Amino acid sequence: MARLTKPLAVLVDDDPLFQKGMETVLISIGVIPLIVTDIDKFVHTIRSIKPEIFLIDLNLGKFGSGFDLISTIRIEKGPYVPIVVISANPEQTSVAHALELGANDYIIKTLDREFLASKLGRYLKSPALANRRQALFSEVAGGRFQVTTKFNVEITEIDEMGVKLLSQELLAKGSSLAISGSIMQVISGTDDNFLATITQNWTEADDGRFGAYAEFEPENKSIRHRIRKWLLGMNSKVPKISL
Amino acid sequence: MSEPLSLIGKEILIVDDAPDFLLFTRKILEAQGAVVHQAVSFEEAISQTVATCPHLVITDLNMPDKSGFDLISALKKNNETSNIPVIALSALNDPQSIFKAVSFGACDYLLKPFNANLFIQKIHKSLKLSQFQIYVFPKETRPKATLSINADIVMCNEIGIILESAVKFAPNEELVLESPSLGFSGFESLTAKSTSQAPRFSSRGKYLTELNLIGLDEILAKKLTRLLKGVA
Repeated sequence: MARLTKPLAVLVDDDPLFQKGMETVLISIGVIPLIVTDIDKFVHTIRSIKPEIFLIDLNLGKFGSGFDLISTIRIEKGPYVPIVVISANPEQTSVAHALELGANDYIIKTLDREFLASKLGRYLKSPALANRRQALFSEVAGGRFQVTTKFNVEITEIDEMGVKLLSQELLAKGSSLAISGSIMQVISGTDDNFLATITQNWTEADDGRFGAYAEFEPENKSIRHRIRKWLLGMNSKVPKISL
Repeated sequence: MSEPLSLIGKEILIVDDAPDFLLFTRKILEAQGAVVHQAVSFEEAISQTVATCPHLVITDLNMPDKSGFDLISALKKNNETSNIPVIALSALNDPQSIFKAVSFGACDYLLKPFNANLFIQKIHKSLKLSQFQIYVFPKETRPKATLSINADIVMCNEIGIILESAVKFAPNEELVLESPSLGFSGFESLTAKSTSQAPRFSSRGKYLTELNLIGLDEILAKKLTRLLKGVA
């Protein structure tokens, strides 16, 4: 069998005009496009090929759900093949959901050749490179070595149930974490961490960072009382505008 | 018509020196899912309000030491409690008392005896005044915080590690890794930086991030690798 020298990209999109445009752009940047329009045969189609990247429109209309395709690709092709989701109007929670399901990145629908070349080029190089790097790493004893990882975030809002934060990192829903910092010390009067769980996440349209809502542990009534007290105090200082 | 607010999780302080009344109101409110605190005197009411920051205070106006009027006044004068709505209760159908309670800051008034449905309606109405408290930080003064989250090192070499976690780290992000085992081996913490490689998705539904270790010399790097691989 002849070996492909150009990477193969699978595009799933329901818009014929966009399909045609992407086909032209992909060819021009040295990528072989395979446009899949029959979702019912998607699994059968991808089993017989080795794409280097998947481009999936999140809004496939009557074709089905882009989210389901992400999950299907991960089941069929494993964790390494890059998936880039495309959306004309990316809702912040949809993009975060796609990334949680296993997509690697997202782009707003565009036929800008330079942008696509730059974005896709990053992923088209990475799988092979990642596999080569993988060979240089070896497993730790027992398969895992537990650590606590710490990184900084920005708090944008505090309410009675939790905090909204902004971060460069995407925090998966359901993840448990501890929050510490000077504002927490002011609220609680102690150095204790606030335990919380991520219940929502989204992408911030204006700066590309990720937002998340961390809900405080419900059993800790003492923390909740202190937060409420702090909030009542802060909100009573806010000048009320009289008309 | 809007749905009444649920009482589930709402904390309500009832202030009355009559044990039967406290029991009666507690039963009604707990049946609706509220968390009920009680106080029999002015001092106890102040102390409970400060400690529990209830969503609503319901107070009898007639108490042996200081009256409910004194309580309403004290709560409204304190910044931390001034936004908590207060319902005044009394057996006296006296316009002067009603006017006085409202002028002191009570948001509603209920005559004893009352029926349970009216009681609940008044509470729902008053709780709407005690809206869910939110504070939005102005952009320029947003505080920073540190998140600590559990993760696993799954692979390593002498210059880097692969970390499996529920966080999709951005490229070139600096993070600190800690663990008791690292501590016992003489590493207070490790500083690492995510590479430019995009994180991959593991079969366990988590992200695999490649990190370069920072600030380790060759000897420490070898020591760490032996620790992670379980080699003596």
